[in-house]
Amino acid sequence: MLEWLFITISAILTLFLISYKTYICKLERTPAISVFVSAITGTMLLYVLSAAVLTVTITGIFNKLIILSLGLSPFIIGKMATYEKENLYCYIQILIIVFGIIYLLL
Amino acid sequence: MSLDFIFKHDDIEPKGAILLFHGLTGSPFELKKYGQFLFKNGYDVYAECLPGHGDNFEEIYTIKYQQWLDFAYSRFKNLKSEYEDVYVSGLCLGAVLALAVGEKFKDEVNGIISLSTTLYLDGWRLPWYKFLIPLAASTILRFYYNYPECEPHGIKNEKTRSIVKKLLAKGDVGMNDFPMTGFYELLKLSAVVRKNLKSIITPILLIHSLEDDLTSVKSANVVYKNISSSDKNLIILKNSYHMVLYDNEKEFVFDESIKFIEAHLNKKIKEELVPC
Repeated sequence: MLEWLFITISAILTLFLISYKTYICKLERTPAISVFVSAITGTMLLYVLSAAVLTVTITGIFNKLIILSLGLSPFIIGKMATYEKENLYCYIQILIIVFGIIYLLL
Repeated sequence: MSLDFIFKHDDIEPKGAILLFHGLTGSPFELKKYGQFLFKNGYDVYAECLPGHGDNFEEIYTIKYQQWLDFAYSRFKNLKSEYEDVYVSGLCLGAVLALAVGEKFKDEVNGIISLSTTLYLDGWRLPWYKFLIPLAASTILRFYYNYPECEPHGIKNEKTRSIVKKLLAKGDVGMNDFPMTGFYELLKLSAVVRKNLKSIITPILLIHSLEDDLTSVKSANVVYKNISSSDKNLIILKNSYHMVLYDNEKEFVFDESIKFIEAHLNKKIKEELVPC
């Protein structure tokens, strides 16, 4: 059950990030865009929280390590990211989230 | 267009120098009237654009708080080599930088005037989801979020607010929104400054609005309680928002600032006059 919740949140977060990078970021800045980014942030918070809970509940030390890494990835990437290479780091973040989905599905 | 200013006395010997720092996404324009007032009272006044601010608005996305610190330290050192008495003052981020200078050069700063000190982003204007700020700031999302500059623009006085609103729309005096990267660096700087507050021994005047829309009075209280200065004063304004230098009580802020400076200048002169 918790795994499916984590997968759903990951999928929503992926969609949000892709739609931001492909469409929203090209629009003129308006307060609505700030609200959209806030929604992504809220989803990312749920992603981190659900990863934390899943780390505790999932069985197997290897699984725990993988899920913990997934949950910490937004902060690690955030720390490494620079404005000049923001695109690259965003795609890495998306790939990590997608990897998490595939890992749990398999 | 440079908004930097230096008001320097050529005709008379200045009583001392005052180094001013502006706020996050602002410019020295917000300090100009204050600077002119201090200049008229016999002081040389210096205010320059902080790194990441100025003509190229993109720079705010690449700025690191260490660059603000290096800038503040170097400007203070330059002034100290020219003047015996140097005071530092600032608004918002500038107030935090003034405190940082006080921490680093504790024996050399004559006094600190800290206006609307922004150690926490907890003002009433911030949206209900402001608890997400630290998360967004720590992730890649900080490059995507710009908090739009909106009513009341830190100003309670409606007439002044409408003027500032027009100037902001033109983009002449500052940025029209707050990039999250700026918040991120401000929060990191704030953490560094909070950690070292105990090392401040300089006389200090803190002025903060009870209704500050960007940062609550908690920031000023934290500074007041944690610094080691025995000579400290906290004034709470009751009819202003964040931009205390342009709001309803600006004259009061100006007067209290000059009173503070003169009091400490006089004290020093008195000490020199005491016979051995």
